[in-house]
This record gives sequence, structure tokens and C-alpha cells, in this order.
Amino acid sequence: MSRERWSDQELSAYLDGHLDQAAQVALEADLARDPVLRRQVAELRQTVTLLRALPLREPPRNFLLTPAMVAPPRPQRRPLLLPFMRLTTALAGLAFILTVGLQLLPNAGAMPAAAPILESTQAMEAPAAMVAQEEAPEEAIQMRSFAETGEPATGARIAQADTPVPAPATAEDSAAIATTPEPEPQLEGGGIGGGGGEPFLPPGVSGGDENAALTPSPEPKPSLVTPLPYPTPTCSANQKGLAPTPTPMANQTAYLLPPTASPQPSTGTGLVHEEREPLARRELLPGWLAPILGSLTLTLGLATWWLARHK
Amino acid sequence: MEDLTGTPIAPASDEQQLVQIALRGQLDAFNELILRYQTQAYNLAYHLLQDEEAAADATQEAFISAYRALPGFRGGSFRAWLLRIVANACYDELRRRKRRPTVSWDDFGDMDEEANPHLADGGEQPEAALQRSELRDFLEQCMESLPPDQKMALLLVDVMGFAYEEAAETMHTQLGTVKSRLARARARMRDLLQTQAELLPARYRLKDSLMLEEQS
Repeated sequence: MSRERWSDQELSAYLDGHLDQAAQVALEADLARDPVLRRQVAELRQTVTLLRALPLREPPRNFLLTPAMVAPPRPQRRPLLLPFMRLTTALAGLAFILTVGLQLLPNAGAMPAAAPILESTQAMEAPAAMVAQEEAPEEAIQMRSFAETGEPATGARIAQADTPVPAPATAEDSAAIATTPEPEPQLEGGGIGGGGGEPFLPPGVSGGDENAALTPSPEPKPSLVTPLPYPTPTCSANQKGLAPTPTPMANQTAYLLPPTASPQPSTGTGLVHEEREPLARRELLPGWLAPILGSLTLTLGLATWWLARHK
Repeated sequence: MEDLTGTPIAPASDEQQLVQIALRGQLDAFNELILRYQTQAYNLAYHLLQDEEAAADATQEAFISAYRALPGFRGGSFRAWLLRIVANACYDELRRRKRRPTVSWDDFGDMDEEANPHLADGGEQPEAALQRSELRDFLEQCMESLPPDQKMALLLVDVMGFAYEEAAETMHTQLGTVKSRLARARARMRDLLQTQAELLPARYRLKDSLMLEEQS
């Protein structure tokens, strides 16, 4: 049968004139003598005719472009920006929580409510006290010579007045100390008179024993802030929590105080030696750190939220 | 000069000139090309996606992509290059649907095609318009059963009147592949037309028309 020689692909190509010349002659010869093949080709041609009569759909609208449509796309935000912002926000928040938590710990909280006020004073006093301690050996020798000669009585008085300067106290503390009985009343007379036959000793030094001034005492002597006949403006300034004006003489007196007492601020409890460890912690975590971290966390959080919303 | 579908065929030199002007940033020149080919582009998208709104969106996106990709146009048939971009946009949409199917494919067969106001032809007699509408519904229903590649070959060559070479360029394939896909699609359509002839208007039925042809 001739129609079995021709595939649908050849008949399709024949309808479109894409059959090669030899195949086209052979097919037309078969078509002339085979009515079944002729009908087969006619059905295929009719199908193509119907398809070509298929009406196209009208588009629902024109698809003309506007300049806004073909504007260059906005540069894509870096994909890692948002995760980075989230991580930074989380870290800032963690740092904020840790800072607040450390400041609220019981040890750190041993300082009463006046602690934040005194922190600025401590920050200013601590370096002066440290310098004073470093200079102590030289000045101790110098003061020893003063003690032997009994010359600088005025300096001793100033030192006596300035003694509480590195150790600011609250009003209650000062009042308590002021009412403490004077253990060595002879010092006051020596300080005022500056003479009396015996060599001058700086205030706070037990009578006649110059080594006592150089030996650190485990506890501060209340006599250091004993009320004196002359006014003690520096002490009153400390009671108000104001930073004292460091003077060279104040540095000179630092060595006269026990190491635990001279740079330490008073907490109002009268136990100055207990303040060393909280002081170190507060120096590591200054008071302005928590507000800064809180503001930073809030700002980063808002920025991250905005980025996530407009992604 | 018009092709089989009545679409005016632009002279190649005119088309190339418009492309060159569009390359210099003149959007109006590109829009002139869009006006020439938007009907074919939309019909190709519609037959591939079987959804009017999706076809319109894909066509619009394809035209925007084509404008941005215009510097990469290396000559040849602009229509083939443009419709290839449309087809790619449709295939992307089909792949997206396959990943996230939202509507059953069966739903598309029940769409009321008569609701399209664009089909109204003021100069056509109501009976003729009805027969054309019935013919289109029937053919489109038959074409839905074809694989996308065969459907595209049938659309390009038989419905839109593309030459084999232009169809091969549009489908980004070899000439022999186009012939093969077209032959299988035609044979499939022929079989469907024979088995479901009662659904066709009488004047379009194959047996009746062949009998009339043999009698004449």
C-alpha cells in the first residue's frame, strides 16, 4: 500500500512545500492512484485550513511601555544587610541587659542612692590619689624633714583641712565622724600652736611618733576630720558631693592617710575599706554606658524593623 | 502586505530601523514595534497559560524585558526574538504554578469565553460570528490537550503563519524539530476533529467538507 510509505511528518511537510523534490514527485504519484492516501492528505489539509481560520484573541489592553516601566530597577539591597542588622541589634541588646544587670547586682548595689552622684567625684579624685600614692615616697622623706624641723605649720594645717578631700563623705558620715570623741586631742593644740617645745607634727600623727605617719593604718583615723577651730570649706564641699579642687598640698597629704582610705570614697557606712571592689566594677562600667547602649539598641531595632518592612 | 492572520508584515528594513531608533533610547519606536506584535504575543501567552489575566501580565513583563534586552538583539526576525521572550516568560510562569499550584487545570476548560467583549465584531453577521466563536472554542479546547511544544509549533506556523525557520528561531530549536512537532500536532488535531466532529459547526466538519469536495 502506497499510503503506508508516507508518515504524518512527510505529509505535513508536503502541505507546506517542505518535502524535497524527489519525495514530492513520488508522493504525488501515489496520490493519483490511491484514494485512501488522497483522503488522508485532504483531512490533514482541512485541519490546517481550520487552524489558519482560528481567530486570534484581541488583547485586553495595549501593552505600550512608559518610561517609568523601563526605568532601571532600584539597586538591590545587599542580602546580608538585614541579618547583620539583626545580629548587631541582638548584641547591643545583650550588652545593654548585661550592663544594667551588673549595675543592679547586690555588690554593686551596696552603694546607696548617692552613688551615682559621687561617681563623677570619684572619677576625678582617683587619678589624683594615684599620683599622690606614686609620689608618696619622695614626699614622705620631705615631710619627715619638715617634721624634724617643724617649719611648715601652715602646710600642715592646710593638709589637715584637706585630709578628707580624697575621701568625700556624705553628710551623715561627716556628722558621725564629727561627733566622734577625739582620741588624741593633743594634736589639735599642736596643729594650732605649732610650737610648745616639741617638733611640729602633722595632724593625724600620734604624738611624737613620726613613723606612725608613714605606716599605713588599717583604719582611717576619725581625728583626720575632727572639727577644727578654723573653717574647713573643703569638707563642706565634699558633703555636698561636689568635686574638690585638687591642690598640691592635698597631694602632699595623701601619703598621710592609709592606702585604703586615701583614694576611697566614703559610702556613708563608715567602712571605707569595703568599697574597693565595687569601685573597680564601677570603673569598668561607667554610668553613662547603660543609657548609651539602650539608645543604640533602640535605634538599631527600629532600623532593622524598617529594613525588614521595606525589603 | 499582511500575513495569514491579517497582521501587517513590516518590511525588514523598517523593522531594523525602528530597532535602531529604540536602541538610542526612543521608547516610541519600541512601542511601534509593540503595537505590531502585541496581538500575536498575547495569543501565544494565552494559549500557553490558558488564562487571560496571566497572559496579559506575562506579555507586559515580556515586553519590558525585551526593551531592556534590546542591546542583545543580534538581528534576524524581531518578531521571532520578541515572541521567544514572551514564551520564556510563560514557561517561567508555568514552572512557578507547578511549584505552587493554586488553581486546577481543569478549571480553565469551563471558562466562559463569550464574556470577552473584544470578540465582538460590528461588521460580522451574528450567525457567522457565532460560528467563528464556536470554531475557536472547539479548536482551543482541542489544542489544550497538546503538549506545550507541539501547541507552540501549531500556533506559530498554522495560526500565526510563521515560516518554519522563524518558528525554529522563536522556539530556539532546530528546523527538523519544528517539522516533527508540527506534524504530530496536526495529526493530533485531525484525530480530534474527526472524533468530535459533532461539536463543530457543520460547515467546518471534515467529512462533510470532504464529501462536498469530492462531489465537486
